[in-house]
Amino acid sequence: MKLKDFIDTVFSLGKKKGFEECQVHFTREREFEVHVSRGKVETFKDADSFAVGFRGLKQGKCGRASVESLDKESAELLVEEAFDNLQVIDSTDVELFHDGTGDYRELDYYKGEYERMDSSQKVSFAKELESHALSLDKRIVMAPRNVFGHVTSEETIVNTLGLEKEFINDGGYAYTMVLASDGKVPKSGFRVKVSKTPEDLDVHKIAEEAVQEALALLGAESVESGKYDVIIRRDVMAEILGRFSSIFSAEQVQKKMSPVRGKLGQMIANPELSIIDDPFIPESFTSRPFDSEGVPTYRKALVDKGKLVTYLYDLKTAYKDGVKSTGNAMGSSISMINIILEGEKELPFEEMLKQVEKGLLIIGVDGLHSGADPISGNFSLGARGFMIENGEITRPIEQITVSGNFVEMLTRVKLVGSDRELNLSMFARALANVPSVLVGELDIAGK
Amino acid sequence: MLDRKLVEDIISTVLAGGADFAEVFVENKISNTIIMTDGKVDRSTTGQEKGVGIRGFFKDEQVYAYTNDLSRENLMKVAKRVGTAIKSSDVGTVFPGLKVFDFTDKHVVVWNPLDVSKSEKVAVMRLAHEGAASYPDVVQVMIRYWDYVQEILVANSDGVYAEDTRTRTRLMISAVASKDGVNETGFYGPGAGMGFEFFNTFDVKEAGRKAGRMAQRMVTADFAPAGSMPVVISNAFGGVIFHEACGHALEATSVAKGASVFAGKLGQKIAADCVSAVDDATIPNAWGSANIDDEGTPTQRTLLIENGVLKGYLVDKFHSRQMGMPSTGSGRRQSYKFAPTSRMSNTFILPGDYHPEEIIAATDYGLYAKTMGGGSVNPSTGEFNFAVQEGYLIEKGKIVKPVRGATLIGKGWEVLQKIDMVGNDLARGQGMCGSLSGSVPADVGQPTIRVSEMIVGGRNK
Repeated sequence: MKLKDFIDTVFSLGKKKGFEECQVHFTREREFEVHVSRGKVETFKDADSFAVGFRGLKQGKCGRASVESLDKESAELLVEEAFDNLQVIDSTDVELFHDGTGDYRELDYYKGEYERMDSSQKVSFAKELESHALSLDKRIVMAPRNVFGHVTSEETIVNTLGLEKEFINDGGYAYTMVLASDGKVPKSGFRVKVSKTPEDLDVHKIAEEAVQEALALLGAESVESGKYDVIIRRDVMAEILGRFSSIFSAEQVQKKMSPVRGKLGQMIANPELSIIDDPFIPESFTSRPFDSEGVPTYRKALVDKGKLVTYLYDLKTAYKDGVKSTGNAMGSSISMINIILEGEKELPFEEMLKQVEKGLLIIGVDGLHSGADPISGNFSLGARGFMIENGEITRPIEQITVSGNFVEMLTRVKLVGSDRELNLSMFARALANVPSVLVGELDIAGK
Repeated sequence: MLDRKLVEDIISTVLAGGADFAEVFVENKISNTIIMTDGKVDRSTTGQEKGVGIRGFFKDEQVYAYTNDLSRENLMKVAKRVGTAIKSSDVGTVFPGLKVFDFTDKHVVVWNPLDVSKSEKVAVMRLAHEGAASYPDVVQVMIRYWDYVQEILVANSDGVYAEDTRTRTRLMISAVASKDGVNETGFYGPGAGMGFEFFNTFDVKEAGRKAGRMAQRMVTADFAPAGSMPVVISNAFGGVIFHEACGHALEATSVAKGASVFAGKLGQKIAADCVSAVDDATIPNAWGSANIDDEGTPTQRTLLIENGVLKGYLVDKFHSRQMGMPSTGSGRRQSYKFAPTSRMSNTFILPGDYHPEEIIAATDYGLYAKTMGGGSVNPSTGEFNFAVQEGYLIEKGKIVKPVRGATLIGKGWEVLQKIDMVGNDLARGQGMCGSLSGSVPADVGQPTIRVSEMIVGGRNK
């Protein structure tokens, strides 16, 4: 069945079943990814798939179901299962749909340049990542992962209140992981880059940065446990911010599962610091004109010069708090679209380094999924980086943990860098335009 | 699930393009998720996933494609694309035709969850909620119920044609305790390769209490100390240490290309004498078990370490070619959207000599990690980390107080040699393991063990 006919079928079955309103969210993804190792194609993935999510409303409750085919049987399954699911809901929260009104930003989200590339060009890109990395230094013994990939996603959302929106977006990425060895202990270096177009992926630069990192860490040792001033490098800050971005979700707040509950209008960070959600960054492939409920997105500060000014809302949580949705419904949760961190005064990285008498530069953390808890805000993460003494990097560091509380850390940010860069923030499934920051007195465990 | 003639035609087409091995994986999965927050059901979802994955090997290279347009026309087009994705002069691979692979189902399901009404599932969730909410400082309880029935068909150019059904059921209980502005959480997530009968095998309300008790104890705890010290790790989910510190580095995915610290070390001593460990996907109805893996190979119990000596790796079909070792039935994938690779199933350290009480009593000062959270590892350097969800301080052989917020870090190859006591209380716990081929159900396990020295990431005084 064609999508339009399928939607018509689902809507008529849904109304017959007794739903007051019905909504279909169609998503389609075309994915390509190639992994190269030792000059060979380890995996070459070429994929095309879609999913159809259905929601039906009745008396303020919402029944949900999803399928991956567009036939009569699937249409029936959607409606029957969703209706069955609605019956067990006993929460008094009111669910609703958006009617398509509001200001939708027009943006050119789809470039199509990745899809126009020949697949042999893509394989060559990944091969070049590996061979260039290996050619740079004898101590680079292996590059176990060399990956090039891209994704095109299409979305269509239609409901019986008159909402009808669609958009298509694409982007690509490349990463490499290299191993350096001095004959004793191996160290790894990793670099990932994301972009809207292939020409923005500099294959040599990615390889060089990964190699530099691995080499610089050779001979790393742990440090004495204690409190240290810590510079968190921009890419690490992007990951940490993303991991904790759910503390701003109104759902987490309403469920008493956020450390910033009850803090609206209060200062929660250094008064020079702002955290902004910007859905329209042109270079980001997570940018979008509407959220997964079809509500228009817009740019907003969550933390404005230290003050918590809004939570992130979808339709249900906004109704509960008597406010408007902020257009941050993303699948089954509420999240940021692109994360921006800004300081009132931003210092070049080298200047920031000079301000540190004795401290650490953290260039990688491990265990964000397990060692960071967005409910309490606490984190304790494996980390690596460098010792800073008298404003200069002196030696590589490994086998330490860095611990603290995210919200407390926002108040202890001393300096914000000007070295901002668009980086991946895996946990938020977002991109982050974030600089490095200097944080006072974080707990370090080591020797 | 897919017409057998069509499956044969797909395989022949992939081979005709120049591949020397071809595989078809068909999946049809129905899953149910119900979420209860604060004692009220606020979301219930049913999802069907249905698609086909087609794979070709070209000596030591591989190509994978998937689609959920199951029309003959589209599948033949995809097969042709897979077969010709890599230039090859190899057109001589003989396809003997398919033979149905029959096996006895070791993981019999009594009560298909698809036949159970959602209100009965909600009744189970309510019990768990009551248990978890029964502690004074617990302010929020979230119960997630999850079940699925996954039907698969795997066929390949070696002639394998196998079908199986995997049923899994799990309850995930989270409790949040809040006191004086501090939030702490407790979690317990029992699961099995069973149907709804799973809830007759344990006390659901007590399972809820377990999560509630953990949050309650932790919210009043001090922060764990920072630094290097002995760590006693409790049984069951404590086995996540072996899973991260060693298990991932024994997967062919990193061993085959020499990117694992344990590559080339078969027969060598890699752990203390008291350490023996296995991966066993044959345990009836366990969370990580299956009759066949996602490549159609029968699963097995694989000895990994015996008295400290490395005895085996976990091998899938693709890497079996490079390593010259047979598959151990370890080829797994989250769904048809992933090419399979070698993964753990139910992986655990075997029991040793000591009662857990003896291990605590023999420890002068250290951390007792009663319940572990998740963790991760870099198999190339062996560096791992994991979170302690529920911890206690040991002083002079006694547990003296609860401590929170600890993370344990180390290097797998070092920590295996520092295990100096192994208990006799083997148990397993359930988790989801994420890697290249997606997120798959896996049991971790161990008896209580002691590591003589580990870095505990806590707070400084």
